[in-house]
Amino acid sequence: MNMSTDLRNAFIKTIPIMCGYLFLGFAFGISLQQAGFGAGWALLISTIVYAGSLQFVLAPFLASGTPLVSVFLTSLFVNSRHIFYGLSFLERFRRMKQAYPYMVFSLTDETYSVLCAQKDVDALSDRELFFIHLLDQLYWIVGSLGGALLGSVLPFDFTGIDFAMTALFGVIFYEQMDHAANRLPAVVGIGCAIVCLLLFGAENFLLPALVSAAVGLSLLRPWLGRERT
Amino acid sequence: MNALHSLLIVLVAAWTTIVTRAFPFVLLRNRPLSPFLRYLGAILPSAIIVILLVYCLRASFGLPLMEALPSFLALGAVFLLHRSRHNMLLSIGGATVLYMVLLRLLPLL
Repeated sequence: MNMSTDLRNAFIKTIPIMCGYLFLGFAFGISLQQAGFGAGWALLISTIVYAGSLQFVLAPFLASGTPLVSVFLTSLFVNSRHIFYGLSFLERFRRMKQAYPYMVFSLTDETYSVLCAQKDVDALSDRELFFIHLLDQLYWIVGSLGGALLGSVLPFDFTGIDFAMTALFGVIFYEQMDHAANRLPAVVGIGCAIVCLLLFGAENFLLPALVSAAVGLSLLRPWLGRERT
Repeated sequence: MNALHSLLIVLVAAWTTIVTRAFPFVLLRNRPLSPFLRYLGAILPSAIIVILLVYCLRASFGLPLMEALPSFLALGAVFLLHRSRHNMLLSIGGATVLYMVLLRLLPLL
């Protein structure tokens, strides 16, 4: 397949992320600008940090000159969930040679979900996979720059357009439920999410939920492992 | 406020993010995946996606019913649209428009 076909396919797959990232990136740009940091900082941060939830914490950190140790610990805590994402695409990314480091660097929650939505990641070309990652980051950068430059001067109120990402997770969830082998793991996931949400609260439940789901699925391997080839 | 310290904050955040993302790749470099890790890699996405879905909706769980309604109705619309038409962009686009409309209309009731 040629380059423009790969780019076009990658673009179609990432349209929901475009809606979400442009909007959230815009919100990040505004929050950064309000903290006293302009478009140059937005560009730098969205290029080299590229982690949505962490970046929203960075704006107040920058404004108050937070000690580096706190920055380090917060980043580690907020991002530790990423440890769980690499495992599923480890062997696929390894085959990508020059693009490999970038694929690892740019595996955000949302890009991870686009890959999860594919029936067979092995069937995608290296170039299409790379474009999926690259386009997602470009949406994020453009959104951040837009927010930092235009601030709140845009006439239309886009509030709520970021629901596109929630909807994306909903669609992937729905499609996974078509396969019997995915149902029990999803039930384990919902159970862990709800219990941890009640125990740890809305802002802290993600990591404990991921850890308990990973432990739970490890323990269920004698029963679940057989259904997988 | 000092520009050098700000730059260091950004670099520390960038470095830590790269470390967490690269962790499984670096830990398992030069090694084939064991059957256990291969099992976990194959099965984790179905649990993680639903956890991320709850994460997206986390703010709505604590809200009064009327304020939580737009996200849950729109999520219902995602499932219904996807069941009837099986078109990912239509399911996502339709539900997002519905969400934005509900967000603006429900407070008027």
